[in-house]
Amino acid sequence: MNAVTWIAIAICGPGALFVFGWFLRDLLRLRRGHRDRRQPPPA
Amino acid sequence: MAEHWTGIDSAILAAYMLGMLGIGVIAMRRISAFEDWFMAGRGLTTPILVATLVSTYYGLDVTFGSSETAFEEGVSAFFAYSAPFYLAYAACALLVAPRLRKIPARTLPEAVAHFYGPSAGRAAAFASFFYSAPILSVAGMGLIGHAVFGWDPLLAAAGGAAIALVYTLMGGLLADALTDTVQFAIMCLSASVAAAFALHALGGWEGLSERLDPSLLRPGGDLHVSDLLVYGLVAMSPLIEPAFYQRIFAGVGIRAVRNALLIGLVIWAAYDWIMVFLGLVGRDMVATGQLDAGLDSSSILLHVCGELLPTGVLGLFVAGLFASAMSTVDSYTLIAAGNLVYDGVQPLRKQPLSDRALLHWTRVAAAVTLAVSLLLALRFDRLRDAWIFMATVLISTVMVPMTVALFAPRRARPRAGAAAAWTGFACAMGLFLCFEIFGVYDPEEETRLLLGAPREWALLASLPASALAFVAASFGRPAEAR
Repeated sequence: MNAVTWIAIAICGPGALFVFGWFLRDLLRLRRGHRDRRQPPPA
Repeated sequence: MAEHWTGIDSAILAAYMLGMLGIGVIAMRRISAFEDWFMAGRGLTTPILVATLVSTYYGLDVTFGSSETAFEEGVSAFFAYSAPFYLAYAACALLVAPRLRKIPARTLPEAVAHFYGPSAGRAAAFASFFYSAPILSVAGMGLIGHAVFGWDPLLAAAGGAAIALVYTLMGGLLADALTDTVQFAIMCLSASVAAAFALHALGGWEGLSERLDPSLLRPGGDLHVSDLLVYGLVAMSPLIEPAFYQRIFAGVGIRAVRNALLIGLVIWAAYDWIMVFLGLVGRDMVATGQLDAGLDSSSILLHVCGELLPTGVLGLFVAGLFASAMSTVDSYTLIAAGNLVYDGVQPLRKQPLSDRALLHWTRVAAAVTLAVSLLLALRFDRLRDAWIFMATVLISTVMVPMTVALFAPRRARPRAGAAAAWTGFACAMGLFLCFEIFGVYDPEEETRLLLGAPREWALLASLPASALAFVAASFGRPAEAR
């Protein structure tokens, strides 16, 4: 039961932060994509 | 709990509330049409889908309900009540989502109407509205405000609901999904920190299991077979869940949706286990005299955390509780408003509403839905009663037609779907009305009884009635080949 509880704590703590970090990475990529599209293509 | 609350905790809670409003303002700048507002432009990626699914589906009913049930009945709260849902999440990811992505729809009622026509769609819209009106989480915010600050429950519920409404009106599903992502991180992190503190304070499970009654550690508990059947049927509700459907349609692709549901399944299970563990900690603290034996079991979680968590962490935990409630309130308000205007009014009009009018009236409906939910939240004595009513109405109306539409090899007749949906809806509403008028409250069973049957069994009559109506209306001309 101890191990199960620690696994649950790891999933809800670091696991949730990992998903949040993944979301931030997607968001940054999206913003970079928008910025790149606004810039004129190289000559 | 109020005696443990400090200025630092208040600052954390205030920062959270302001952050949510800020996200609403940012999301508003990206809204130009109804599709942007209601479906976030159909661009939700895996991490944002995980966050919005987990935080939306798990509100205060699960948070308080699991800890309360564990406090009273032990680990069966996890094995008998929560575990059957995991099968439904997996089925939703692997079987339902791929089929749904093939149809042109935005909502559950629209999916029903796609298979069975507008009449069945209207019944589904009514059922989805009753299910989605965020009564439970609004009432839950009232409970937190009262327990933590001693505020009037109506004032606390209205304050939390108003903030959720403002950012939802501004940014729609995009604001909803973005705030859900932050709320997801806060609610999971705060639960995880609270469990780690509790585990450390009690010296692990060994200490806990030595002091607790062994019956509390039996996975099966002492449930009646018919209760297990009802809970098993209710656990199938994710297969027809309006918030799941909206997110399945709003996902960027089927792979993102499937992965999000499977990752969500693991996080839901971990969250459930933590709430069950904290409920058992509460039981232990009452037995050892650290908590008053006369405490209300529904708020045991608040008292456990008030005793165990230090300054700052307590503020994070209460922000996590508000996050859990507000993420549910905003999402379901949006869905219920869509049920009224997009699924209810729009199909009845000869001239469809313009995009701008649709956006305007759905925003108005969101405000009306939340105001009605606030009033209803104070009328139910017990949150569980409201939840059973809402789940019974949705399952009775939509489960039979949608299951047949998604899994039967041949397309059923439209009138069969309409007959099943309206019969299930009328039967569920009628039975609950009969229990209200003619039923007698039994304090031992903690429910209303009619002819010896508890109110929870209404589903055991209304679901077969819906299935019978479906079969009866299927006779006649041969079914059209798919």
